[in-house]
Amino acid sequence: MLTASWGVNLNGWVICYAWCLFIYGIGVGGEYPMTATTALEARSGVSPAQMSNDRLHRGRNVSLTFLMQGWGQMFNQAILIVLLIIFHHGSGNPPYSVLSVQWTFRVQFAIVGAMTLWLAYHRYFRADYSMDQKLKAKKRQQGAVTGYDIKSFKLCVSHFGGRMIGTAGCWAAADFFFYGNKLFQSAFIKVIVPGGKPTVMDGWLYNLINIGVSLVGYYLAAILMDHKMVGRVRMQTVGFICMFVLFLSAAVRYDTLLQPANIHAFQAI
Amino acid sequence: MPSANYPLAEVDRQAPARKSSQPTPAASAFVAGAQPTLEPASHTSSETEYRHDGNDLDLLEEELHPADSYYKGTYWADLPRAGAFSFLPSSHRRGGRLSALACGCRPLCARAWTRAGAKEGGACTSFLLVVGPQLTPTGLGTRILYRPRQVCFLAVQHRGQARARRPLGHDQEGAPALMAVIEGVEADRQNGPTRTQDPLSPTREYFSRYVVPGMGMFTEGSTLFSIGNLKPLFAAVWPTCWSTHEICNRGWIDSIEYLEILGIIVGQILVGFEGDWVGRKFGLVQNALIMTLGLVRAPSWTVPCVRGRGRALTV
Repeated sequence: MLTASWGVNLNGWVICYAWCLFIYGIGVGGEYPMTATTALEARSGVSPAQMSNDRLHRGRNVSLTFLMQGWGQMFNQAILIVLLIIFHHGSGNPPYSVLSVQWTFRVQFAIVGAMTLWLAYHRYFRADYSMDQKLKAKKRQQGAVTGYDIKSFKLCVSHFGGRMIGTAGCWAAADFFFYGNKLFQSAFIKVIVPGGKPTVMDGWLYNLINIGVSLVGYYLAAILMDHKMVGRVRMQTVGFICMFVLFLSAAVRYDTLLQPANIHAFQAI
Repeated sequence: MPSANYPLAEVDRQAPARKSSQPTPAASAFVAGAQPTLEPASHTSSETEYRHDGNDLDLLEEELHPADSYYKGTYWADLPRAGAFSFLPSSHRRGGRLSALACGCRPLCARAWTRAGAKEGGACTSFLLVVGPQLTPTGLGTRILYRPRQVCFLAVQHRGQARARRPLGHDQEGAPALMAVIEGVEADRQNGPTRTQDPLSPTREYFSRYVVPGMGMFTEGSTLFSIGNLKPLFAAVWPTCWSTHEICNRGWIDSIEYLEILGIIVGQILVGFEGDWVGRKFGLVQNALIMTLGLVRAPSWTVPCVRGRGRALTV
């Protein structure tokens, strides 16, 4: 593979990059259900360590585990900034040389790669899989009943169909905001940066703020999720209303906000 | 009114091999206000017998019967965290208030255990269990899972304290409407401090509980969203490729994100099944390995592509 890719032009590299991310995506895609289930099932295994733990905060377990994604983004952004400064002779200003960019993004991937390799080691040798034991026992007990058949599917849909549609719908709605925000982030940042011509570093620093704020949100959610006075439904409703108001106000008064006098308000949004 | 520490292990010892679909006669000992049928025994006697010895599956038989986790069709975690409901059979009908008890530790959550079929003789059909942090969730009357020594105490003893904090459920006579076991803090106090409190223990706990399981999400979040961060950088360095699309195909540049998402979809479906059919371990390890493969390829394979022939930058 290495030799084959020698001498390919930039376009070839883009293609390589895309396919590598495809492969990576398979791992990521597997990661979502597995992390969610393991976090849900955490402390429901049969090992002493798991059984002696708090098993009553499923929501918090899952959300704090998924929160690591936020820390990951933060880490990535921070390390990119630091590496670029290191390899760019201590300054974050353009123009960037090809060499320093190369080092920046490769070292960044290498660091994450080392961490992922450690993860594989940990999961293979160190992690607690007493849950698997339980699953096996369950299978033994249930015999041929696996839950993967038409009847269970029907039951599943009839019992949980509404909930699934509701959850997935909320998720989709939230993603409109989330990915809309992420995709047009550069456009927003271009607007809010004083001077009008943001460098890469400006964008990154704003992104860092964005991630930091969303981490606060993650933690608040994690704390309040299992609280009996708050709970998920209420929290999500409030969140949607807030996002609706903020995005709407940003959209309606977009031109007004673009005036230099009002730019701070927009930055806050 | 029971006031002593109950040797809960005794309950289970009487019926160690019972099938969980059968009623639990021993459960009646724990009905609020019912006479305790068991002598309080010393904790040490039961300790050896119920030491956790690896025979997990047998102990956890209860867990394999989800029916026990339901109260009138509601999963225990979905039961109202606070609110009146009655949970004793008609002979012992009392309005209870499901509420987290405070016992020096943070009020957490309550778990109701119902035992279908234990109605005969007015036996208690449900228990309320309050579980303290990091302590043994123990099925009172259904099955003592392990560490009976730590299961120490009944709500009755703490009624005053609990009532002082919040109105706890009582029936008209003022008898406790629910049986609760509070574990932990008091047990630790009774056993005496075994070692000095480690100031870093919350940190360690946080790491082992959330960070290590979330490590996959961490690396994934780091890499997945890096493309959004890197694109402006690439565009600044190779504008002819990344922004004006002179030498690179625009379709391929856009397809970076699409392929990423496509991979995610494939992986979700694939590993979703694998995790159930093969096992959690298989799925998790496979994820980490695939991600490593993708990462190793992302920097190394593409190095020569970018730098051109003979000018490879090895990382």
